[in-house]
Amino acid sequence: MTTTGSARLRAATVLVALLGAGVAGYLTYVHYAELEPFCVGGGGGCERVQSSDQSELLGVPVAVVGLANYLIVASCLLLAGRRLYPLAAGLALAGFGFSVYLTYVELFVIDAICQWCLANAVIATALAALTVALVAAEPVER
Amino acid sequence: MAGSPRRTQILAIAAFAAVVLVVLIVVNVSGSDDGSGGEGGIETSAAEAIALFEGIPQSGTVLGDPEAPATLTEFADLQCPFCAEFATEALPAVVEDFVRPGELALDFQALTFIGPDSEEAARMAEAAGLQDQLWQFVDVFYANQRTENSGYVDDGFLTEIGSALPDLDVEAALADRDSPDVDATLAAARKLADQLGVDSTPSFVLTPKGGEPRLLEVASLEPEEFTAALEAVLGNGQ
Repeated sequence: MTTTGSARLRAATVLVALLGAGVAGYLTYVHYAELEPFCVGGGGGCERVQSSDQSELLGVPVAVVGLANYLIVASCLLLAGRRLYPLAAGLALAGFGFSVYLTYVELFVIDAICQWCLANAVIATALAALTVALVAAEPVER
Repeated sequence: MAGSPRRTQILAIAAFAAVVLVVLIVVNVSGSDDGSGGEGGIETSAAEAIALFEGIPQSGTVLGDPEAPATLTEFADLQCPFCAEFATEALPAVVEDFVRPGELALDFQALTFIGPDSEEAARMAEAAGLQDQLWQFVDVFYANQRTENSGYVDDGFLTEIGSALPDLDVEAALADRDSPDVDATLAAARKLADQLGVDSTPSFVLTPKGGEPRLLEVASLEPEEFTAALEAVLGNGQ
């Protein structure tokens, strides 16, 4: 890939990571403010998901974990140069896998869908694809 | 030929991602057991509930002096963890500072949107309300909440909760769950929630005597938030 193409791909990836940080940041905010996430159509799905046992990891809201992951990925791409692209891709892939797991939990355990979580799953999927593409576009250092 | 190092790199990334993912899932699954909630068990939470509401008049869903200057209506789902948090964190202060002195009445309106266990729990709570024991029952239930929609709210669980309350006739309450009175109370709660635009739990509506109901906005479920918000509206100290 040309340098310009690689730079564009990197910019797009950072943008998606920051978009994910925005969604996770909002969910983090409503968690700590003990507010209900704004849910189009109501129905209580967001509240059920946000207040479920699966919404935390060792007492830390998964939204915080997601926020941290997006910010680390963005930082790897922005600040550390191509050396850390593989780390960004690994984290993005893990984030994608975890969003798949959480979507499964929503559908089959909690029996509720949170639109914000679905938005996050879409972003996590896009971010994983973009970071892998970014790694693939870079020459491998021997 | 960059194939081999590329493959090694991709494998390393995938392995790293897989390890992180497995750790995340294991931690998440281990943290979501069906723990029985309450600290100290049902008997302890029942003793606390009895002490909290002792000596305060209770009628159906209403706790406190019905002639109090204001009524705080709580819309709650018994499976809702935030509702349980309110009950354990803020409610004792609200009861002691406002309800016991006769400045405020509390009205519990049960919503059942989380799932079938919510309906089972709400029916038993309303049935306990027919014996003026709703607030004690709800308090003990919250302290012993389990995993949402896991089917735990069955006759056995409800009997266990109810039996911890000496003034509750559990058999009568179980029998009253499908009574027209309970049906009517739950339907009225749904209707009132619709009228007031309540679509999440817990939600709080404060109605000054003879005045218009309005949503009580609180930034958190901490006791200080409620006492400050109530003092601001009721216009007095403690």
